[in-house]
Amino acid sequence: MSKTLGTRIAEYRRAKGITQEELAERLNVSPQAVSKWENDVCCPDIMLLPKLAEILGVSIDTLLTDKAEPETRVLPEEKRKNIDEMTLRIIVNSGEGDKVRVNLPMALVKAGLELGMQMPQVSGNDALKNIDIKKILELVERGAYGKLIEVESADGDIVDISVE
Amino acid sequence: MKISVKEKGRRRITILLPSILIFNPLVAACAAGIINTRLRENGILDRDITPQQLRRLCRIIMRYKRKHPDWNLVEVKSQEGDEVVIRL
Repeated sequence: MSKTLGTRIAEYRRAKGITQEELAERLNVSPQAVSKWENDVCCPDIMLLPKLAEILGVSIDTLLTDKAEPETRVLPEEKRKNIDEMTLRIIVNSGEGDKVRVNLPMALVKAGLELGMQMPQVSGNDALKNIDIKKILELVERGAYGKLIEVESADGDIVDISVE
Repeated sequence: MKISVKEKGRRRITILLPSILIFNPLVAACAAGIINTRLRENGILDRDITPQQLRRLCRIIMRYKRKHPDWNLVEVKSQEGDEVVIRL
């Protein structure tokens, strides 16, 4: 059975780590409205869909039809966002069960790179010590979007790096 | 900037810091020396950060904050249920 719009909104929201209240605030609606959408009591206003999809990090198509997008994509030049508007998301799930989520503005990453920072100083995880941020930046400049790196260390730490 | 710390079974502590008090040119100029000392001590960076570079970082952070208020910069959840959230 295909998922409902409400279920998809709830899933994408949770995956992003956003609460109903935060989503409501960003869309200028009440938290009750978000709750109603997620419980399929009603649907979001059509004018809110572009902003909702942007916040949830999916396309409107994906939100409405559940057509899964590939995790990593190369966007054509006309669809690329300004790199300074993008976010580098580092998710570290340690083997012991700790979770770290770092959401860095790409502009800040670029500035950090100029200061000579490297990935372990950003993420705090040694599993990423051989990863070159410059290469990630180059990939993003060429249109790479979505999950770029997934590392599983011998200790069981899982690190995902994605660009949104 | 909002730093929120929650220990399992305890009340959440939230520290509210006006971002402009932290990320401003004056603090950047004063803090550069201290930051460089700490970075050298811990062997994190092999070259010094200049006050100008720090000012630029502050500008980027403040610009981003204006565009994305309440941006979650760092979220940490420990296995024991403790939580730390740093929000712009």
